[in-house]
Amino acid sequence: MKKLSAMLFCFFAITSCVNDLDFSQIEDYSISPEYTVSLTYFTISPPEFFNGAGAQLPEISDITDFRGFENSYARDKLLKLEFNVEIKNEFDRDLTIQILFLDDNMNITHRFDDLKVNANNLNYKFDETIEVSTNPNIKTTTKIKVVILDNSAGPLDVSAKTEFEFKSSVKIYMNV
Amino acid sequence: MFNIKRLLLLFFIVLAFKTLSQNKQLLYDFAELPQTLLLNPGAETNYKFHVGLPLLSGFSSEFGAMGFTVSDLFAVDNRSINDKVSAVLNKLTTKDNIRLNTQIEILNAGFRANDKNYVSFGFYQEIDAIAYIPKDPLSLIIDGNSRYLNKNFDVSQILFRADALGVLHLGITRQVSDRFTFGARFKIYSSALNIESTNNSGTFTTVNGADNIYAHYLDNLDINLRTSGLVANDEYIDTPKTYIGNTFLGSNLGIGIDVGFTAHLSDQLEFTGSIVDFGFMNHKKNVKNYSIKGSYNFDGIEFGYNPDNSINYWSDLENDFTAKVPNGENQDSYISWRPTKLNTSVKYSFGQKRSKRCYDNSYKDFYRNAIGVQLYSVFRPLVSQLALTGFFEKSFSEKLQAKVTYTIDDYSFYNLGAALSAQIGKINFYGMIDNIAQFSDIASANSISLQLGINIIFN
Repeated sequence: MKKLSAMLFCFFAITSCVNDLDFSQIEDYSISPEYTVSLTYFTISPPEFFNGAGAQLPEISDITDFRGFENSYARDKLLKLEFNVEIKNEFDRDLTIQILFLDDNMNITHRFDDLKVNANNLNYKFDETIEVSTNPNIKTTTKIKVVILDNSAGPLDVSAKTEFEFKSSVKIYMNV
Repeated sequence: MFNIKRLLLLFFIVLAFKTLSQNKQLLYDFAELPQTLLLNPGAETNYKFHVGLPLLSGFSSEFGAMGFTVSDLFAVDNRSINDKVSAVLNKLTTKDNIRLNTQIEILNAGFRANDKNYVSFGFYQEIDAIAYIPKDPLSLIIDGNSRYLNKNFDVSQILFRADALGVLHLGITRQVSDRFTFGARFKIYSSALNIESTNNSGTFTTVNGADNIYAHYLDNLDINLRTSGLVANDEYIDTPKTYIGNTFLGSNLGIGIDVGFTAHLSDQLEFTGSIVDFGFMNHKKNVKNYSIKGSYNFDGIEFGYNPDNSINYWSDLENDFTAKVPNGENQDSYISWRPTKLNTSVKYSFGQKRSKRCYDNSYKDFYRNAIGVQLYSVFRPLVSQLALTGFFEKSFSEKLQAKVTYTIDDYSFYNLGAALSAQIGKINFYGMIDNIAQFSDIASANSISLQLGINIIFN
């Protein structure tokens, strides 16, 4: 009995072998997912530039909370943000768009260069890439504000059927 | 701390080694071993009683690689690990799966009640798990959605199940006539752990949008995760002792039955068949289930530019999502079915005829050689898995027998196995190994299996 067990053990021990393996290679493995996510969008027409009293406003703005960076894991693995903006301006005037990234205290964590969109420019495109390593403040962003400034001094025809369309997205690069 | 690299290492190691255990093609109908009664309660036996050596009478574990080998990933070569992982993932399909099954016998014994009936009973512990490769969700995690516009990421590919249980069993094998033996085994299952996520549905898609640059669609999402034995009082059970204790008549019990037969169509032609583990478990204690269900379309956050009515867009988005895609937890009891196995074989015996002494001091003729085929099937969540085995058996003497098998299944077309059963005095020793051809380099093997055990058999 003992002989047989010993023979079988020796057979397996002698005949089986494993080529060189290095499990520590997994430490060099990295995942680099790229997620595309829609951001803010809107379509406005001339009445949005008038207040309740009928007075024309030189600028309008709106703001939203953004809690995408609240998750510490996502925040730590964030590498790069690539923003894309597409604008169709049917208005008869140049408009300037300011896109501001703010923290909880309304401090600016990042802002794009102003987007100057000429009158009747129906295919305005803008993109900007933020490297997180050189702009770490972006990770403290909790709000996004978009301001539209009317650059012309002339009156806006409130009944005009023109529209201003704004679309945006972000491609999030991570390194896990 | 959560470390995705270590998780991936574990994932790939588990992925690379799967168990094909339930297909014990070497053990099935071999040498009248007591353990064959667990594969076919209608198998013929020829002894007065037997006792398996506690914890050593039966251990089985079979490992295999699914479309790739460990050395594909971890061999020391000049290729980057990222390239190697990508190559492996590209090869995998949604029908590929990880299977794990190990059994260890705690007690196995039997006795001849009379000339016609042999009673066998025992207790074994089993771990059985299967997980299909969730290729789409994996792509979403590893690559993201940017390069897959218009692709429907299918979450129904999330399909897995894991069981740890104890099985208390009692069977009877009745020799109905010289040519026909029938057997049945009653089982009580005691689940220590069950985790399963099946019948999921839904897709996630990102497309070019109309209102915004992109639109995201979560369509008909319905994901569930059922667990029992994992969480107690909102805390994970992390003591092995608790799991082991629950394998013996714990709170989550079930019942099952095995049936089988052996028929001699002639002196030389034998036909066998069995159904094993036709049963279920009822999970009602330490149950924690999770679900998420609904549909949602997301174009982005639409600004209203209404100075008189400031809107909290983010809160509105969260509330809207929660309302349309609610998620929840419950402790509802549920039933899980055991993976039922089907075995059948045809064996033709030939060559020199010899006699062996039976338990009643009579003598029974047997042929020294036999050749045949076996078919094995296990009913799994996605598809039934099949294996076809051709075999050759050789009796060197009454006490020393060998079996060689060649198996074709979903994963391998060249699986060669060998088994040896020897009886020295009243001690029976058996050992079996599968996929011998690749034994020279285990890391590059597609499958390796090992079964062994020691019994005390009284003729």
